[in-house]
Amino acid sequence: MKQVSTRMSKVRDYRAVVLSNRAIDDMVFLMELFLPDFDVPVIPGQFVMIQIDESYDPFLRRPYSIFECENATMKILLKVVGRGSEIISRKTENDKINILGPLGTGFTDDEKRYPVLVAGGMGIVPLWFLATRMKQKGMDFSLVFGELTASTLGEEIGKTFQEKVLFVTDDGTRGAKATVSDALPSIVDSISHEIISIYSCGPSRMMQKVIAFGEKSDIPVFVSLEARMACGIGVCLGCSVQRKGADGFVTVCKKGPVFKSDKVVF
Amino acid sequence: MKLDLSTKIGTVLFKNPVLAASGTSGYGAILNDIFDVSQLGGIITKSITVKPRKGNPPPRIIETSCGMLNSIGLENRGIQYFLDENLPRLKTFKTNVIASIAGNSDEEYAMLAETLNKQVDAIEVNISCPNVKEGGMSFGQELHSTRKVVETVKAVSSIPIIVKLTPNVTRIEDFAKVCEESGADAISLVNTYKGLSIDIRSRRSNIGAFTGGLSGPAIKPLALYAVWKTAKTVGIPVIGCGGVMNYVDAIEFFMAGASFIEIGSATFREPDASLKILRGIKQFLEDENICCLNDIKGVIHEC
Repeated sequence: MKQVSTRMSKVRDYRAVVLSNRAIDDMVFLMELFLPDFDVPVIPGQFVMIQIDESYDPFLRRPYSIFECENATMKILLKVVGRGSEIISRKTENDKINILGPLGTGFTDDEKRYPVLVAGGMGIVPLWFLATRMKQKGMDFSLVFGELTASTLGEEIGKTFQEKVLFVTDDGTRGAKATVSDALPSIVDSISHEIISIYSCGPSRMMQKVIAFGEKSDIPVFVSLEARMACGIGVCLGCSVQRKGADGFVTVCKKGPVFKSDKVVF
Repeated sequence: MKLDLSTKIGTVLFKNPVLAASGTSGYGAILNDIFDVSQLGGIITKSITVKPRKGNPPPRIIETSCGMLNSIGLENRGIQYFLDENLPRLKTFKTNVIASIAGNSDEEYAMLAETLNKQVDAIEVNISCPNVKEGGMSFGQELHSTRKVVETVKAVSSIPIIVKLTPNVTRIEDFAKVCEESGADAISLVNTYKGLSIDIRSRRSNIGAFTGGLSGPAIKPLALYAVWKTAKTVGIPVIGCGGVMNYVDAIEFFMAGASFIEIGSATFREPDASLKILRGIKQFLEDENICCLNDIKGVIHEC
């Protein structure tokens, strides 16, 4: 996969139509959207800003990583975590919704390295998209998916990516009873490839441990970060995180959300 | 009937009264990728300081009812970077460029104003940032400090000087009057209202720097009142700012006495909000058979 410059993608506010929206797990929804006129390239890891509705309360849009995007059809996987996501989760077929995007950087690929995708919970979203693209290209990869307990989402991941997936659950209901970060060293050991890259998204603490493992093992790690955002386009500077090894901040929305792990502290 | 939206500050002509507010539009380039910023009356830059500022620790924003708190802390790369990297692109847009400046001392304000003089179309003196420890809002909360900084900036400038006021004072109109007496060519108000939001689980502020500035539709009635009160007190143009989300809000500000409006947080919800508001203003004036802004400026009936 070659990096496509985000400058090429014209960011626009699209008036999308909800094609379907269904609960796949408790509080987790898969929404399929149709974006008329949408014809820009989208890179896994990029996100969109969804306007909740016409009301000024909640005031701001919400950033969502793109789950899948094919021509003018986009899928968003969302978990209800507050008022904003709860309102979005109630959208039904034919509802209209404003979508600003595509935004941010995506995952870049080093074709010389074997990709190991490491996802925790809803952190699967950008990695599902990345895995889908890799699968389409016939690339080989491993996907580690960890969650608290076996979910329908996990089942879907298994069905879609089959033998490429390694499951871990906190309670042992699917795969090894472990956390992603605890299981990662032995998983990487079991991979026959010597030269690998890790692509990770999940809870901050999980990603921090993945990064620590990568540093110790001399494996480059790319992480996709989450942050509260106001604008999503780099003008408000509200989503900034600390630069690594430098005194200053960097925006998650514009310079990220995907960063090489030696660039940021979070 | 030809609709004329043009209006002036000092000798500088603005083709329309819709300005992109400081801190919500970067330096124009990012927004220009989404819509043609040259259609606006002007772009006010993110505040520029003498030296680069890294800004405040995250979290820097938190949503509140019908608005948001922010505490960015004037993050910018300093005047030299602005001149080298931001200004050339800004100048390519066919709209007025207003440089917002923020200093820690009168000398810093003077240095910034002198350096930017004639490089831009006007200067907005930010004496109202609630999110920095030194300088910022403190210049806008004491009448004598306000007078001094405005006089200092005015002495080194030949382009129009706009002073952006904080609403975190007892009588904002007194500060406006002092600005006018000190030679300001216009005033803009309001900057954000200082506020707080608490995470009840951790018992900590939701903002890394503890407090933030409140903006958005939540403050619109407060801002409108401040503009009305101020416009009755001074003769120089008043730029209304605070929660303008649509053309109705904009017209309200004009009727309260504003000659211009700044679009701030609305841009976060919709990047092209300022353009939509401009179109809405035009449509309203045409529908009402009003040919120029002066015919609605300050027309609110007061009984």
